[in-house]
Amino acid sequence: MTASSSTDVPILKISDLSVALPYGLDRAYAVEGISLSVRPREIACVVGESGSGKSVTASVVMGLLPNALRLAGGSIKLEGEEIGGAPEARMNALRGNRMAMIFQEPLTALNPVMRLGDQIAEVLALHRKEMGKTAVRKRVLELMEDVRLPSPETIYGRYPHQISGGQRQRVMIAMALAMEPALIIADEPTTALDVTTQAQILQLFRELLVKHDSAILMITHDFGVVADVADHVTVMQHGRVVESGKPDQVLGNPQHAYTRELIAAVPRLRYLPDLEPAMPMLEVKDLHLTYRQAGWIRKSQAVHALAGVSFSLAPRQTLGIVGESGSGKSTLAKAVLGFETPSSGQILFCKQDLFSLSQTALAGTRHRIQMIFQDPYSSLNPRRRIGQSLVEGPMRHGKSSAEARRRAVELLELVGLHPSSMDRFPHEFSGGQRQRLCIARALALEPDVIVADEAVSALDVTVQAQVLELFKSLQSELGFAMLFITHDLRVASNICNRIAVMSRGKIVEMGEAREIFENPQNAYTRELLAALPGSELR
Amino acid sequence: MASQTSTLPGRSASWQALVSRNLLMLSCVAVLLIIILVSLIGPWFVAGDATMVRPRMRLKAPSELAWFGTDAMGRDVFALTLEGARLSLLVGFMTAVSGGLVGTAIGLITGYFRRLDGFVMRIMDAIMAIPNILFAVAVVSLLGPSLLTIVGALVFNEIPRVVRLVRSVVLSVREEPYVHAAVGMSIPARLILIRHILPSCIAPLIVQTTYIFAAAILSEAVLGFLGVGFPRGTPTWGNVVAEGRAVFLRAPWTIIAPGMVLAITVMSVNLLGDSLRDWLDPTLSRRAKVHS
Repeated sequence: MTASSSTDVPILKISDLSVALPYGLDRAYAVEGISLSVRPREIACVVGESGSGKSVTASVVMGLLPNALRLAGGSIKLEGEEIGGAPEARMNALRGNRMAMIFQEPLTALNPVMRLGDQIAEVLALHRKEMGKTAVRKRVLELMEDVRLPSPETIYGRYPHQISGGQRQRVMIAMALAMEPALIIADEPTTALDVTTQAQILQLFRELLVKHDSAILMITHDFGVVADVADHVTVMQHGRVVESGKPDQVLGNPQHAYTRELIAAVPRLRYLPDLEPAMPMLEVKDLHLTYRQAGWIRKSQAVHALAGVSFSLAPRQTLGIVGESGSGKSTLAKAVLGFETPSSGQILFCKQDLFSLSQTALAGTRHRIQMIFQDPYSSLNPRRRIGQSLVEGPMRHGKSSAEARRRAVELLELVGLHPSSMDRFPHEFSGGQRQRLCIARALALEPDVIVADEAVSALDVTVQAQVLELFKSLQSELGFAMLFITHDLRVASNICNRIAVMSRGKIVEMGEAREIFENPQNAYTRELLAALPGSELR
Repeated sequence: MASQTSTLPGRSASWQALVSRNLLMLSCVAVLLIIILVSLIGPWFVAGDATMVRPRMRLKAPSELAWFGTDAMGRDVFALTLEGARLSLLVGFMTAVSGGLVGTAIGLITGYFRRLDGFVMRIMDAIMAIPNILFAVAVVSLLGPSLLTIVGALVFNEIPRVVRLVRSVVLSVREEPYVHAAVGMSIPARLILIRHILPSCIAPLIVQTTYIFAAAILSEAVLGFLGVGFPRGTPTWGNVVAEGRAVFLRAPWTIIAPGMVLAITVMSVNLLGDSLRDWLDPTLSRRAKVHS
């Protein structure tokens, strides 16, 4: 892609780097004997699943290794200077100055009580003490202009919570660029962002490289992102480099089995047929939900989280609700589950209006709609054994303890876990296993409807593929209907019979999955589809 | 990443490591155990009735006969201190336990049922606005000094602190997905509170009750010193110090000895609370900060 400029001397050269883990863990090294280099004006991507050592690689270059980890060997050269094990004072001088870092979550990486402009200015004030106040301010505004922040003068005086996630990431990038660093390390910079925003930020990276003459080391788990921006790819597994090369070569003709597995697990657009029309299990009619922010001094503000949402869901059917953050899809899930009370509209479950039921009738019906959440780490009570979590619900609804335990063991086997898991605690399981446990817990109540809110978003791609497969087989076996909420169109295409696209609290388009993807009618749907990273992988 | 539990400090398998890491906590426990034991079995070793007046023995300096000396009425200060420890520790214990229980109950309910929250918390604010010694003085002078009134008066002021603490934990834990999952299974609220929310409150509660324990012992001593605690003549640390005040210049040991025991007890309890906090919540301890 971008031709490397005059010199071919790499900006960053890592050779044979090893980082030791504390004694007693499942492996001795976080990264072991890895080598990679980043040339000027190049975007080098490091891809891998959680635990592959990709983030450790980023922190060791920045000199930000956690204390428990220790540099065990190898060299790191930044612009020819050895920085592996360099004294803290030297690293402080280099950080922010010659190399800068951009994090995944811009909200927590920014100081919440400091004006955005001042946060960028702080970097300049630290490294360029000779610059006057007005000069600093002028430079900050220039940088904000460079990262395409709208009206920099206004944003300068704002606080992080007052701007959108994409804008926050732009501020982070402006901070990273402030000192014109030779190297920018970006750790999952677009993972927390919506697809359309992600596409804009990736575009911005490419432009900035040329303008500011730097290089980017990007850590990511997303092959779509790699396909779109990378000039060089390094694939990592269990702390080792398994494959590296030009992206078209690695993606198009992967040599290593793990790379092939990873690429195969990236969800492709694949459509399930719609089902024959049947009696709906769940009907949502003209649902409105308005949050009001009451205030004595300020005028009360109303946010229309849901503005007239209607759909119906038949047994064995999966309806995908896709949309970006703030589109109201999670509010819709909460309303269906009874955690939010809508301002108007009906939710009919087996022809019964859930909001006209008495408390006791609701308690007898509610468990037939079960939920699976995004974060598998907080979805299970950390202090209770798996068995206790699995039998709690069924016993509440009249099963004997022995019966509930027997069913729990069956369910564990059904979701692919060993029956001995009953006596273990949640922290003994991986993210994917926990998500399986959550599915088992939901199924223990023999639900008619399952609401899955971003249920696979926190999982690695290979695990994600397995869990999606599990959902499909369980559904055909047990026959529940599913409301599948996701921001990921590819995932939605893999599991949904019908898809509803939400934007600003409304369903803007709904139909058979294939129709939505191949012949989108709505402008917003088309925009979403165009922003999907990695069109080559489709 | 590595499994989280194996890296928690203070949970190591070997005994020696456990002891050396928690030296402060263990020594506090040891000091408190000694004070409790001595106060329980002490009276059998000290000859005669601690409160017996012996005019010929007035204001004797510490000696092998009376380790802490004698007071203005010839009573053995060591024996009085031991007797006093029983009552003072009992007041502290009862205040801590009842304050912890009542406060936890109120905190769980207000934190979970948000409709009650505003009302109950304003009452708690009002209680916190009352100076606690002043309130205890008023209650004890109105109802007469007894174990129940003194503990009651002290507990009343400690409840809001426990309520605030428990409520804050409930407010964050109730939003955890596993609590939502329980609600979705129609598990009744009382079971959700007991099974899923209360366990998260236990660690901070233990810490808070140790502070209440220490504060109650001090407050009881202040009440005794002000002359509104247990009736004059009843040996409590406050009363012993109060009676020694008049003769402090001539016989300083009447105040210094019981005062020291009081100070050591309160300090051990507070240090125990601090080290328990570090132990139960590794993210707060200095040790953990260095490592993370």
